[in-house]
Order: sequence, then structure tokens, then C-alpha cells
Amino acid sequence: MSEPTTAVETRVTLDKKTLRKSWWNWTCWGQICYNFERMMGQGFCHSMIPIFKKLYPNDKEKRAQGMTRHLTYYNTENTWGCLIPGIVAAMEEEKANGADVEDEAISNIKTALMGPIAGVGDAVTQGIVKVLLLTIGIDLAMKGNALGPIFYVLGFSAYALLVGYTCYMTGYKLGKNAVVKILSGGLIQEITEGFGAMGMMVLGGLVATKIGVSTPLSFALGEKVTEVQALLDQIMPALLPLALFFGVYALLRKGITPMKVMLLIFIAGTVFSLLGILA
Amino acid sequence: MQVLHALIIALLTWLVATACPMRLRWSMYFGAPLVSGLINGLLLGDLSYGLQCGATVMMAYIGLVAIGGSLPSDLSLAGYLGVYMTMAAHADPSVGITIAVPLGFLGILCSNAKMALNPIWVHRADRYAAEGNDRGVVAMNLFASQIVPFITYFIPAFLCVLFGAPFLEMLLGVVPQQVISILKLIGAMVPALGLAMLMNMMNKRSTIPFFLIGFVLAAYLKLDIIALAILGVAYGILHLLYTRKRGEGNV
Repeated sequence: MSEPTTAVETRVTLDKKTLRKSWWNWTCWGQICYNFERMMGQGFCHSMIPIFKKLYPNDKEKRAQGMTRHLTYYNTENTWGCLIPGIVAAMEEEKANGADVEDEAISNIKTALMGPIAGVGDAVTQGIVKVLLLTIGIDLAMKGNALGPIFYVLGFSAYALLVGYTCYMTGYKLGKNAVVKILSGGLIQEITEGFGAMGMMVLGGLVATKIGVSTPLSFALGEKVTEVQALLDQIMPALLPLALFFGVYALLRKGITPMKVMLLIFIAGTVFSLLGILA
Repeated sequence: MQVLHALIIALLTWLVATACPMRLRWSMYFGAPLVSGLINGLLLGDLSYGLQCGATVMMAYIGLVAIGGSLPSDLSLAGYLGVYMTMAAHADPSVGITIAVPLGFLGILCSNAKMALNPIWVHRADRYAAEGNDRGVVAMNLFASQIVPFITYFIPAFLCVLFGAPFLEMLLGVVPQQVISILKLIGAMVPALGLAMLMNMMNKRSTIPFFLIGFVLAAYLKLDIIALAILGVAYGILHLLYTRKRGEGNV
């Protein structure tokens, strides 16, 4: 399977231009027709169209089969997920050149990888990169600096383009070398673990600083008035935010939907504010 | 002028919600309130007020993560329309979040309508694909997919900007101070949800210690987020080195 011995006739190879077009389609339009039935399936098919045009320029039947093959359920993270169309492009190339690549093999790779890669991608893109860039952007904007939002948009877009492009081209190379199996094994687990540690640290810091809840309660003991917030601060700074955070977290763990939690926060906020317990 | 402004905001809401290239959507969607603050600040001629409103609303959504279909809020409507409405009503930036959140709820309906109706185009694409008609497939993906979002995002946003602001301003003008402080408290509590969602996504037993370290560094030592991120990289590497399976001889 790895030896291209079957290439007796003229071999069709995917050039850089075709690969770039395929990547571009994925990175721009992968999620544009997002839907409950197939999620990003149609977007994935779109990204494969340039590949099929190159591989089967004169065979409409083969192109039809190829497009149908990729209109299936598919859902992953968009940036790191570029790895998968890259791998699939390489497999389709082998298939077109007569290698023994079953349709199931291609579907299996997609299904096996989309979950783990979404895991890494979501943790890194949404959990770390987004949060860091936003924090910087917010801090700048709070000071009235218009560079805040601009820096954020440029930074995030540069990240998405660079990581996405690299992942696609890496995927293509990996797909050629048939080392794809390694990916679904230990490597992804390790990457997730390492980024997980970093993300959790940033998260801890955000909990301490971004939840602005305090209590205006105070009570008088004889002459002396004691502020409850000052008392709490002595026990531990950011105690109330931490408690609120774990309260909400416990609700989510119980399977209560974020939507309902949001409603609960509205109710709790109203009650606590009226009672003068929190501010 | 108001029509132009309504057009710009409605276009942004729609494009960022569904239509523009994904790599741009990432930033424009997840940072919608922040970006909206800049744009509306420029359009309304009060940049620093705009940036303040945007940054304040943004704070509530900082941890929001989109996994599967469980977004609690649609950031496009909450951000582009919400920040505009806040500014048009001349409200305090901290009130912005409570204007944005209900809009975000409505946005989830818009988003679900899209998700539920888009399979129509995918089934058409199935047919085109079977015929080998790649243009048909592309047309379904790029254009047909936008019919529902145009109706659910563009039109409501356009009408809200055109007619909604005076109404909201009047409403906010008569609400008592008590309600304002309730809204402020809710605004301060909402970030807990986003951050808890983030934790729910990333949480593994093995990385809980790092949460505690991060909390202590920020709460007690007042380290900023970049310092935490740099330390996070170091800890991440150490964590991998120490947890890697034996037999690699680098301990």
C-alpha cells in the first residue's frame, strides 16, 4: 500500500495550488451550512471538490462518487481540524492512483480523528488562545485604547490561518506516509494533557479576577462596624467569586443546560441584590 | 444616517453569525461585543464610551465555549446589536450585559432555526453530488445556506437599530435605581457561567492542581494573565515530562 508500484500509467499528483484551494475552502466555508443533521459534512465535501477536479478531470462518475462519499456527518474544530482534510486529500490521491484504499478506510479515518482533534482544538483555540487574546483586548479597550479590538481580531485571525495552513499541509504529508494511526493513539492524548495544564492555570487566574461579585453586608458589634467583605478577604481573596464559580460548575456537571443556568443567575442576582446580600 | 447605521449593524450581525469566512468568524464572533464596541463607538462618534461598553459586555462572555449545540447565548446578536442598543440608550456600560443577554437568548432561537432548516440544502446537495454537479454543491453550501440566517439575523437586527433605540432609552429612563443595581450584579455573576463551561470542557482530574496554582497566583500574588500563560507553558511541559510513561529514560 505504501509502495506506489501501481503507477504504471501517468500518475496524478496533487500540486500545491490544488491543496491550497482545498484548505482555503475548508477554512472559509467548512461551517457555513452548519446543521443538526450532518453538522460540517457539506463543508467538508466543499473542501474536497478541488481535489476531485484535479484527480478526475474527465471522469464525472468518479467525481460524483467522491462528493457523495464526503457529504456524510462530520464535525470537528475548524483550525486544528485542517489536519483531517489534509490527510484525506492524500488518501484520495492514493486511491485515484490505483492504491487499494477502501471507501470505508477514508470514512473511518475521518470519524476516528474528528473527535480527538476537536478535543485538542477546542481546548487550545477556545480555552487558551481566545481567552488570552480577549483578556489583552479587553484590558486595552477598558483604558480607551482602540487597538484592543484590532489587536484581538488580527491576532486571532493570524493564529487561525497559520495553524490551519500548517495543519492541513502536515496532514497531507502524514496521509502520504500512512502514519495516521499514531495520531489517534498516544500523541493526541499527550498534547491534550499538556495544553490542559496550561489552560487550567489560566482559568484559575480568570476565576480570581473576572467575576466581580462582593458583599455590601456589614454588622455592628457595640461601637465597631465590621464589613463582611473585609472579613472574607482575610480568609481568602476572591472567595465569593470562587464559591460562585464552583456552584455554577456543579450545576453544569449535574447536566443542567447553560441556558437554564443563565436563567438561574438572573433569578439569583435579582434576589441577592434586593436582599442586599451581594453587589 | 440611522438607516446606514442599521444596515451596517444588521450586515455585521448576519455575516458574523453565519456568512463570512470561518477564519474571520472565529475572532469576530467570539469577540463580538469587543469588536462591536469599536465599530459603534466610531459610528456614534464616542469611541471611548463604545470601547468601555464593548469591553464590559465582553467580560461576561470571556469563557464562553461553543461545543456541540449548547451555547447559552448567540454572540453575534448579543454583541453587535446588544452593544449598539446599550450605547443608543446612553446606558451605563455595566447595564450593557443585561441588554445583551436577552438578545443572546433570542439569537439562540435564530441559530437553532438555521441548524434545523439547513438540512434541506444538504439533501439538495446530495442530489447534485450524485449527478456530479460540483457547482450545485458549492451553491448549496455558499448561498442556499444563507437564506434562513438572512431572515433570522439581518432583518430583526435592522429593524431593532432603526426603531428600537428610542424605545429602550425611554424604558431605561424610568427604571428605578434598584433595578440598575440588580442588572449590575447579574453582569458581575454571568462570567462565572462562561468560565465554568470552560472548566467543564477542559477538566481532567490530573490537571486540577494547575487550576489551584493559577488561582493563587492571581488572587494572592496579583499576577496578570500573560504571566500566568507563560508559567502555564512551563508547567504544561513539566507535567508532560513527569507523567510520560516509563521506558524513555529521561527522568
